[in-house]
Amino acid sequence: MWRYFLKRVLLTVPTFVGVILLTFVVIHLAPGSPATADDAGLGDSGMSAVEHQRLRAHYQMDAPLHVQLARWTARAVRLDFGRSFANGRPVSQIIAERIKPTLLLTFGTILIALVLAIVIASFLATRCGRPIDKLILTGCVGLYAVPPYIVGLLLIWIFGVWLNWFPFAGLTSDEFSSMTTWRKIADLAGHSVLIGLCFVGPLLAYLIPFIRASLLSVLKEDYVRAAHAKGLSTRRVMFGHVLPNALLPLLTVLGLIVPAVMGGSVVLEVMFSWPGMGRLLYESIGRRDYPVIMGMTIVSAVIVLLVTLVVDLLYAWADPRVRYV
Amino acid sequence: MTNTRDRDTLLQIRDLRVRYDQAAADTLDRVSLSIKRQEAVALLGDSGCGKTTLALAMMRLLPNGAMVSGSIELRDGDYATPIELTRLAEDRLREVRGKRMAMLFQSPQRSLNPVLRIGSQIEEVIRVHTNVRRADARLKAIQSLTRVGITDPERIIRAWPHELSGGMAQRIGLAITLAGQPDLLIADEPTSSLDANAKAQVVELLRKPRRTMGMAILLITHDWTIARALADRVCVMDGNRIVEDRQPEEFEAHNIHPAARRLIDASNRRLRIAVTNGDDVR
Amino acid sequence: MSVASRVGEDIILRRSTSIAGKRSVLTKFAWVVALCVVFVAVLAPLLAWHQPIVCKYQGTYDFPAVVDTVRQIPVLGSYLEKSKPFRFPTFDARKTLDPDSFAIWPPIPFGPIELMADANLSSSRAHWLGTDDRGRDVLARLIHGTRVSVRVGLYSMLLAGAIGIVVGAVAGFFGGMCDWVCSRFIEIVMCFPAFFLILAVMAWIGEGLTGVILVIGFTQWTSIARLVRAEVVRGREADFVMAARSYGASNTHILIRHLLPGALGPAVVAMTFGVADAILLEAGLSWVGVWRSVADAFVGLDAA
Repeated sequence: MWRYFLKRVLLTVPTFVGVILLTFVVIHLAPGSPATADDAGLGDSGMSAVEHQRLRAHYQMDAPLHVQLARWTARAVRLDFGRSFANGRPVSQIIAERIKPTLLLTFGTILIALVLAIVIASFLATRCGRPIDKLILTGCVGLYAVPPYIVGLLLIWIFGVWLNWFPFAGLTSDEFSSMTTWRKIADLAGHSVLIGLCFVGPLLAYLIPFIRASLLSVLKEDYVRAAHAKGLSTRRVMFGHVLPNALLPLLTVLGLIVPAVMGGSVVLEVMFSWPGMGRLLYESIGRRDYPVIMGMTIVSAVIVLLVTLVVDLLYAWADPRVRYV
Repeated sequence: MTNTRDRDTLLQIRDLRVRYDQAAADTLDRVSLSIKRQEAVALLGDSGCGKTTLALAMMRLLPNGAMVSGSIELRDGDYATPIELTRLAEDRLREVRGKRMAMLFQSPQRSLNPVLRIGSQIEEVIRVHTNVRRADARLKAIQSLTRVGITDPERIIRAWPHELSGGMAQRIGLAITLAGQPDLLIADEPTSSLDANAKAQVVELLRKPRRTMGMAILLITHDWTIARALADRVCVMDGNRIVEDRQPEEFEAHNIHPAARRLIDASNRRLRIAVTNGDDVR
Repeated sequence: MSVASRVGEDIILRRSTSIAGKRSVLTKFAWVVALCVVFVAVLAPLLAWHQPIVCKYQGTYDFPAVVDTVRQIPVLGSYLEKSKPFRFPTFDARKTLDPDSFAIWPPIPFGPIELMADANLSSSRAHWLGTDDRGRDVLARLIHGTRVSVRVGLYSMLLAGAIGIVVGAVAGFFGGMCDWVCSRFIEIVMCFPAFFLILAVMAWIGEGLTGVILVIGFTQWTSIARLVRAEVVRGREADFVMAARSYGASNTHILIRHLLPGALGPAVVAMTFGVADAILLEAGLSWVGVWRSVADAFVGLDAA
């Protein structure tokens, strides 16, 4: 088992190198070569000649390709992405400020959605085929089909503007610094409600049918019947035998959900003025702040890389059948 | 019905009818069957004739929505008052399952939970029925593994189900059912997924606890040779009902039900083919 | 490939069976909606256009909206490229110039780009959904917007499908080092949250419908590749492949005749989901403003 763990951890190294290489390729997708840089042949990208020059200087594009690659790798490994074009601050510092709200949002909503989905799906799986089951499943399909930003607009309109129940802009209120600790928590929670719902809703729509299907297939297994035949209580069968098996595939899904949620955060963070990475990306693209864009691309990939690693290790720990692969 | 017969009877099924669907035909059609203490009864029949349904009905493990009528009475120890299984409350039912009646399932690998170690799956049944500490449960689990002829129980107890062969897994299954020391063991096709060698071992293992623990067995099979090797009495099922109920020797007679004749001939034919191929027949 | 992903190869498939797998009223409904969308997209100029469907003017019949519909079909359209755009005079001018003229108009007689007199109209008999801030008919823009959505969805997924099937088949069939490299490559692309990578690439290469299609296609192929790889690996061990080898079939023959047909089913399912994802991504991109709103892109395409 430990050998597998070590192997799996080492496997992240080539993937990380690949991530750096891919971002390097992306940078070189920029139109124009040194020869054409002075021409107006940059029209498509809307990049001015001055911007282009600054970019070439920043990424030292006049050096030979392998030197550029070596420099890019050396810097990326240290998570040093240079300074922002917009305000001259180190990119890593800017990202560090913005990463917390995004991680809070991503992992908080995934956690809430997981717990809710497991409870609801267990409820439905034991009532398979009844009206409530069909109703909720249909609701899930409907919700799944609605783009999250439509949900966001509706929520803002209903609860933010019309009913005025929850604040819908930013992470905290203006007078946050003068609040007591409890008020601070309440304020933060209040600001998180609407944007959180936009994340949790689609997640539930995806997770509930998935967990339900997984539970139903496990409930049919012989070992569940055998566990009942042993005289175990329904609770013990559920928690001891059904859930551990039914939730295994969920681990894998978790590895797919995290990047999806992080990607989806761009639109929603902008909509709710949430000071996270998604909104930073949006702002940086508007400002053509390339160092920040590339820094954020790598950081987000590294987060996903780490999540995948943890998921894999957890899986190997939880499922004895795949341990020494 | 005399008193002595009553006291001998462990389980009495009367007019049991089961159907899975309102619209469908009966899966069990007025089945009556009694099993005496320490008796080994074989239930012989083709696949799909309702044998497994009968076993599941006895354990009350039928899927939700199955419609059951008739009665299944389990005589409780020395007392005369029988327990009516078809109407037993869920919490009382748990005291019956595993402790009074245990069931051995058809495919041994699939009836073991893949994410739990063998040890905890055996200890589980011990701890739920007897009030013992974890360490004692482990000891008992090791004992029950030795009882089914496993020579290195300490290793097996830490093994995972996927590491076991089919024959080994079926022994574990038997160890789990025997761990609760039930009065009645229902074995549903315990040998059909095993090779000839493992098959013989399992039959032998089923014979032993009957002698030592005074356990009754309901053996569900389609294989006449195994039924004859193990059973005091053979019931033949055909078309969702029991058509024959005799001692194995009586099946030599010519006036038995055609379904029984067919099953017996089928296993004899298998025997002949095996012999002409020069194989070792078990 | 990592353990969890290896075990979870069928997760994407399971998603399809858990959400859309049931042959229910819902599935039929979904099919009807999807067909309607494609129908609207293909026939957009017949539903909303600034030119009539059929008209007679100064003795000649013409079908400007039909011509424009055909013109936008990729291959067929190039034959019509030379025909000059027909400009039908406004009603009053027409009647005075030629009293015999007549015209049958599309249900919505406005194109997506024509500026109406008034901006920000609320819905009325003339403009069912009103007009936008620049005085363009909203319903017409919506109808022509589906064109862009469908185009982005289909083309980007055809691209993603092609990449995914090739990478997956190569990885699964040749195994060993080749599999390792392909699997790492899949993993690397999967590491990037799709929207982050797409936005980053878009920031460099700039706007344009082709850019959007290419970027979505080049980033969204990973799940298809994983599915195809898993199917091919499974099939490689199957008895019928052994049998094919035993009668001397070549590698390519086995791959194309025996393994890919089995792998295509899951790939197509994943691509179907991908179309929906791509349309959402495209809408998100235009929302974030990386490229201008849908009907503007249509205009750009029309001009090109």
